[in-house]
Amino acid sequence: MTLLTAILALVALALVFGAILGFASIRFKVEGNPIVDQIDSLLPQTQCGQCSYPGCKPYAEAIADGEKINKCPPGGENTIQALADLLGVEPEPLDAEHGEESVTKVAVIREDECIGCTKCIQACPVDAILGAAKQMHTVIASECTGCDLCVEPCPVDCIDMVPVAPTVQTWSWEQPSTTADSIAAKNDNLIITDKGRGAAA
Amino acid sequence: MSQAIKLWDIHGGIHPEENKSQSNQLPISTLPLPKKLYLPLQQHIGSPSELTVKIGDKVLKGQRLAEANGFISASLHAPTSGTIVSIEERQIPHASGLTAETIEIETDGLEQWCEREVITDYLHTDPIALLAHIRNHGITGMGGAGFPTAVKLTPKDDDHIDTLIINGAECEPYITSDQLLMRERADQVIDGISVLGQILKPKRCIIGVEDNKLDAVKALRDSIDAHPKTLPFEVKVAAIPTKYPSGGEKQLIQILTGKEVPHGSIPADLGIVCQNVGTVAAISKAVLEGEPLISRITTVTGDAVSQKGNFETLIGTPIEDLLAHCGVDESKLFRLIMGGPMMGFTLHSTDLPVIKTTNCILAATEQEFPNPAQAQDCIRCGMCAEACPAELLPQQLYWFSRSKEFDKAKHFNLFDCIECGACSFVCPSHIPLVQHFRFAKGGIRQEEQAHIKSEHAKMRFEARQDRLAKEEAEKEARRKARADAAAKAKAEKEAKAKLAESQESPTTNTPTADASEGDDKKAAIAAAIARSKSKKPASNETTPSSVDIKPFKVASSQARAAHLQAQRALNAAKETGELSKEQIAEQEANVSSLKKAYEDAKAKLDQAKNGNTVAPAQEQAPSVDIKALKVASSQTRAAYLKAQRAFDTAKEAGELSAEQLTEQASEVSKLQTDYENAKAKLDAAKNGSPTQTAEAASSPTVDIKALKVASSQARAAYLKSQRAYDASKEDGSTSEDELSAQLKKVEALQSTYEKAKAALDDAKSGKTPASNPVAKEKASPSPSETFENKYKQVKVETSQARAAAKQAQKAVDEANEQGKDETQIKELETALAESVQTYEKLNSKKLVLQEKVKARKAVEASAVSQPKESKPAPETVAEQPPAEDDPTKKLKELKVAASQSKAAWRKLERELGKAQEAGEDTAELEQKVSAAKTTYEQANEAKTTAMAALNS
Amino acid sequence: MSLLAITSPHMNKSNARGVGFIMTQVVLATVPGILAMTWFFGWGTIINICFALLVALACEALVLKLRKRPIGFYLKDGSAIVTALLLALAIPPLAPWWLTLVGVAFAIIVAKHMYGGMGYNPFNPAMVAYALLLVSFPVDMTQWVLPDTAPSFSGTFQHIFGLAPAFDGMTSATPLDAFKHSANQTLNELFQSTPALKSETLHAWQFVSMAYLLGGIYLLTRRIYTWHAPVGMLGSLSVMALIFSLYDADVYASVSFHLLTGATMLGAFFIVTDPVTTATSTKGRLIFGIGVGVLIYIIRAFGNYPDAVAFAVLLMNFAAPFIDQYSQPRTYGHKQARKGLPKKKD
Repeated sequence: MTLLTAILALVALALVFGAILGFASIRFKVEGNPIVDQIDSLLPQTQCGQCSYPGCKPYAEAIADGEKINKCPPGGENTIQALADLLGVEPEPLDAEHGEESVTKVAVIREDECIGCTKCIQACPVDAILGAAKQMHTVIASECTGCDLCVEPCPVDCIDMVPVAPTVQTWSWEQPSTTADSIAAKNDNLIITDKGRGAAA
Repeated sequence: MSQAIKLWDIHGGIHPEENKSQSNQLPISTLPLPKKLYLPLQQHIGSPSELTVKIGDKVLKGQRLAEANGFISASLHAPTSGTIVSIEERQIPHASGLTAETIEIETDGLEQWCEREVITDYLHTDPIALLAHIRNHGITGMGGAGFPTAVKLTPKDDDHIDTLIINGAECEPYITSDQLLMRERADQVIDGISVLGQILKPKRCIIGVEDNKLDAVKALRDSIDAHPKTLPFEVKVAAIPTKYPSGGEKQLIQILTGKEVPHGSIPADLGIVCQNVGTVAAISKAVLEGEPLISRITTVTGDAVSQKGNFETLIGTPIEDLLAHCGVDESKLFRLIMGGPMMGFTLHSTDLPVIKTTNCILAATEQEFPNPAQAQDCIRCGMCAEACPAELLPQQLYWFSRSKEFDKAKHFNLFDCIECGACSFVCPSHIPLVQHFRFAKGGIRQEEQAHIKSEHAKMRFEARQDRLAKEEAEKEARRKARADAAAKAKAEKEAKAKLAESQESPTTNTPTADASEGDDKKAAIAAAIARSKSKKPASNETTPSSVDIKPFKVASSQARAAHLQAQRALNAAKETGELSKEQIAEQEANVSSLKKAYEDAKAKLDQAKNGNTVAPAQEQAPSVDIKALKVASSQTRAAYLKAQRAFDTAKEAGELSAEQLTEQASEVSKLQTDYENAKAKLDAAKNGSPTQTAEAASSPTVDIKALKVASSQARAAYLKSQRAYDASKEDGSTSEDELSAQLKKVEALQSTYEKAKAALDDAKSGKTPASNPVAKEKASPSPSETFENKYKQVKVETSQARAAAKQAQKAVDEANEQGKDETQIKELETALAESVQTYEKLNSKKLVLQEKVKARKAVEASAVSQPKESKPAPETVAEQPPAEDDPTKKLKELKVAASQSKAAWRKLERELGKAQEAGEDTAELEQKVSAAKTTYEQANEAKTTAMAALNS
Repeated sequence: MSLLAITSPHMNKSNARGVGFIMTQVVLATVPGILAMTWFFGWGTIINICFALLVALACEALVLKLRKRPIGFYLKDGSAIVTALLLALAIPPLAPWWLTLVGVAFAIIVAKHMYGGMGYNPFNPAMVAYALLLVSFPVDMTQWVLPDTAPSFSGTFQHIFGLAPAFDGMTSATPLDAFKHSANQTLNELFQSTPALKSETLHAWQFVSMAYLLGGIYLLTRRIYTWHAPVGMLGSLSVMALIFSLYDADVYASVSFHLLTGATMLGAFFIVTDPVTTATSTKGRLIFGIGVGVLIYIIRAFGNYPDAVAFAVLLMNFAAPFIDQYSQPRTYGHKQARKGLPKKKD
């Protein structure tokens, strides 16, 4: 009898709480961005494919499915950090297999060497190259994401990736180096907190 | 005037040593005219000014050199008369040491003024006109960042300006330019306030001056007392406690009104406008004297100069000149600062100009401003927070900036930092806090920019993906439609063949109205009929009419059936709307051609009937022929016009891709040629029949013409089908059966074409012996013509062979890629080799022919003079790459070849480098690289020779 | 001529008022306290201080060497000296040498450098060491010499370094300790019966406290720190003591007893003012000080340990980041202060 009462009581409780939870999950449903979109918005959108996915969105989808977050060289450490924050995982160093982080670059066509083959136009993921068959092509610098994809197809190798030079408008002060940074860069660290002082103080 | 003004206090602030007495002892003096002036196009916040002068222009003092470009921008004027020597990128006085476009003026020492525009009666002038005047005279804020003054004075609609604040605080140590201005030119300041009063209509005006400049306060008060009429509102001078940074705009507003400018707003939102005393004086100069902002008062101080003081300096004066005038000791000069010691920035050299915002040049020695001590760790002492006038927690922001936690830094109001430097000033650990904050601000801005850019790139990428998908879908639809049409045509053809078999068409000459071959073939047939018809009377053969009519009848009915069927199909297709416009047009053409064929056949039937009744066909035949031709002509014309219309609408609608449009255009032009051909034929026939020229002469001409047309049409048809075949092959989705069917068709067309051509040749050669004397004269070039024809033929064959070889190559590659079994690959390879061989054979043949043609032509051309000299020329040509004899084209090709080989070489080199890095075996690659290099060098050599040849 | 290109400001006063200056001022401010201690409790204090300084400098140098940091650069900031000095002032004057050694070494090596060194340690190193010693060696830590009964310099030296047998009877508990272990007695009985609570003893303690107060006022006038933390602490402690002594004066000691015995003044002007381990803003520091004061009273009145400054400070050290989050100043142009961390972007 007692056993039965206990079971009944538990079942009743389970039902009540289940009902409350079910109600809450419907009533207080959080309408958030799907995680893929959030990840996608953190990626640099160069569409360079260095992550071995055909664009940023596919990589975002892959990350949502558990792919590693350190395969995006154009985004670099900042993107990895942001992704780690978003997903609540430990940031990892950039996977060198997929390339190294470098300064922002823009493609420039050496125009007298261009033979007008349109191969780079087809390669450009953001339609930033202008030109027609047998006509000289040129890169719209403001649209170029610096993804590198047009360099390989060029049969005459006339595309250079040029670092974007700062202008008076875009220039800003560098981060001052601190004693701890300069020392930590040189030495192994005895104390764990010495590591990456600059990165996470 | 001396009643106390209520003052408020600001949070924090510091009391650095003032160091003003060094430079405020002497009155303002004027600098001698420098030889050269350098004027950067951007000396203000906003977009750079737009040049209105060019190199070599003579400019007068006050003449505009560049005008405001956009709302937030300012004009630039010539500080003196002279010549513009250059306009180029030069280092500008900016913390970054970057370059910007700069005008260089060589002064002529004449100080010739341009015409000045003065507004003396400003109290009765429209504020908008005054604003325009200020804008045109290039006035920018003279105290800080150089914000265009006119913009600041243009209030938003809903802002009513209640208080005008004039900033004479000059809280930065060392600087005394405003102090001297107020002391010596108080009237100018007051006049400027009066002008501003006319523009803004404020209720009151407060001039805030730190109480370490009581001389300036007194001068201003005296001047206010002297100007009662021009100041229709209350003007007070407030002596505020000396404390840095009370001269910051927000801080001064707080001190004088107790109000804080809310985050994200401007003072105008509170009904306050704040202007620097220097700016106000510049406004007064611009309005009352018509002098644009071409000079300013600059303090030169610091222990490295012996003669410290304030100087009326022309904008653009090199700092070198300024320092030299003040007796700089270059050996002692350690740090050169533009602006004050708290907020100024260091200059990288003395080779920089004074700009509109240069209130001070501080040439400091090492004792004055020694190198900053090495930064220690933050001990969180909180002194920075006590000093911060914005009530921030600098040490907290420092942690965030240092660890690049930009979102946190932003959250804790980093952007409310005015970079006054008070925190760095007090920091016991020597931490360059301001630089950390500037770095973080820059980083946040960059991140924002990057985010905008990435969003943009994403948008473009997605748009491209959509476009590609759409194109792919369209292509697929087209291919499907084509395949359907081909299948249908095949079915029809088969049905017809069966029909024809069962009916045993009696003559080959009978038009069979073959739908698949369309216009071209029929025209050829028509031509053939015309020929036979015209021949008939010549040979005086009277055919038994009863025999003739029957096949004509059969043909006619068949053609009609075909036409009707096609028409039905077309209607159905139109209704379902499945087909694209283009396809419909195609079908329509098809239908119309069928119709024509039917009508032709009918006409012929009629004609045959007539021939039966009217015995002497001698005259009748041509006229009938003409009729038929007329019909044909009008039909083609109709078809052409229709196609043209369709093309136009398609073009307008803009729905079709460029590719489709060109396709259509070519179709239209084809129809046009059809029409013209038909017309020509008609004309020829017309001419032929009434004049009744000798058959031997006229009919062959018509004949040849017709044959030519037929031949070219056949060729076009053949080539088209060839293309279609290639395309479908590349598509790879068509089945092999279909492909082989297509191939057969192509071959049939080819043979048709060749036959037509042969007929044409025959006709031609047949014609020549019988031709009239004129034709005889032409007999001599005929060998060359035949050669040419042959050459052309061979050329066509060659290109075909080449295409075949290419295809074979592709097939081999594909097979290799797909990993098919070796026998298959070998088979393909042998096929490839064969085709290559064929091609080479043909090519050599072609070359020989080409040579011959050329030789022949040369002989003909130079028949009179040197017939032999021209012969060797083609031989030398033959040594070089074939097909093209135009040297520029050749050169281009060579160039391409050269750069391609170069690229190949480079790529190989890169690979080699990678391999070497990876520590792989590189011997093979090295060989490859050297081979590529030699190829490149050869190509390059060829290119240079060609270039030289071309040039010579 | 090469011109230096650095960011503004180009002037600063930190060349005159650097970290070293601050530490020197703190050391100077302890002088009255040291003198008073020596006057009443003998040479032990001075000997302890000297020994602690030696140990501290040695430990600091050792750890800096292990961490491969410039030793001279960091030794100059004087933070180790201050830590050692404060600890030496907090432990009994006749405490054996190894007590000082363990305390100072622990303060420098564990409490300071293991957490990242100067500026990074979340807990006040001197108080960490004090708490460690108090918990580990309660007897040694609570044996104070009675005022004016201290042995001679050499005697003290021998006592501290164990060269002579301990003199019994010369030591007693501190007044607070005595007060703590005073069950079943009214205050009057207690004050009369206990040697540690005799008026001479109390006078000595009061004198020492006043000396610390003097040093603290000096530091305040030199603007080494703001008034917020000390005033907060002393204020809250006074209020607590006042409330409870008004409630039952027989059980709870008076305000002056709480303020002027034990480490109250030392804590108020030298411990809670340690900038590294307190809250950042002035408002935060006020809250921090109030918290310390309240905790001191609670631990003294109801806890097990006689003096509570160390524990109270350590507990508030825990709370400092939390206080920081909610004591942001209102920035110019903003209606209200930011609270807490930024929300995650959605």
